[in-house]
Amino acid sequence: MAKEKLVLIVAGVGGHEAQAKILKNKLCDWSTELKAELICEASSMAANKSDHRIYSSSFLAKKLARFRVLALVPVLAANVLQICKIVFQKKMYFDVAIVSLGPFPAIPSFIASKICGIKFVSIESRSRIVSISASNKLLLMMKAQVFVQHSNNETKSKNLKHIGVLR
Amino acid sequence: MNNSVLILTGNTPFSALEKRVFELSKRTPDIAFTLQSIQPCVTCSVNLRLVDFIAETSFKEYDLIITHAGAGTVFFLLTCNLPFIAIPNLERRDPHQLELYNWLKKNKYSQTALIEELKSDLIVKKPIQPDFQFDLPEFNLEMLVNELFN
Repeated sequence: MAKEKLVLIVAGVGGHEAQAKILKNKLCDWSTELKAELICEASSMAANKSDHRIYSSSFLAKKLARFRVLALVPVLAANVLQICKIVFQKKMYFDVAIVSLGPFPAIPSFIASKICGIKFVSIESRSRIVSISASNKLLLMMKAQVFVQHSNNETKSKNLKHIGVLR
Repeated sequence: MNNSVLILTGNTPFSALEKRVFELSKRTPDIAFTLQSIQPCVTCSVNLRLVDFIAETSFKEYDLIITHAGAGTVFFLLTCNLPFIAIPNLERRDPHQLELYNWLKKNKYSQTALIEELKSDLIVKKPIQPDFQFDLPEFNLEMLVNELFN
């Protein structure tokens, strides 16, 4: 029997959480065979209502502000491990894919998807009207799939797929 | 003159705007202010009410809306054709709200201001009603699902 499909949405803080909640509802309404779960930062407003929580790079960056550069690599590795752990648990029962929303989760989510061998899409923030974020530029260099919500000169020159605005 | 002003600070702290509104509420006692904030750093007063959440459906009940330049709120206000003043939250680690602020300013989609430009005359003056219909492209869920599972 084919496994059910599960989309894990890894969200940043603030508006990204709001977008993630909208996306989760849209995906769950899309089909009864499709499930969606949220992975939020432990420091985020939605953390208590989220399906999974991770201690993210931005959460720890605030705590370890003075040692940010030194802490970045181990924190990134910790984020990847936390996401991988969730994916491996879910892979036993579901056909899993990852969507990242917001700059913080994009890189660790992409690395985790490569380790776990699952599909990954990063959706650029709806606030990025005339440019794309540094995280997504990095992802593009790593040949990841990046969708943008607004069409502009930069996204056109990079031939990025325009997915429309989450609302 | 505006009788009621709604201030939206979003999901991340924006103490500079809250403090500015607190000062302005003292200077303009005839205006009723409602400040939405998740972690307010000011206290309520006779004409300043604090709320942690306000439904989008009640936005139209206010004469003027002053909002952080967050995408969710700004796009909602634009699609509803409601007049507002957008103020970028530069307290955030990532100052991406500046991009949306510049876009609104350049295209004259709404009034914009930096914190230091938010003064009593801007609050008292009736806002200009936008004379255009703003449409956002629909989110293509099918494209996302196909990319993830096909």
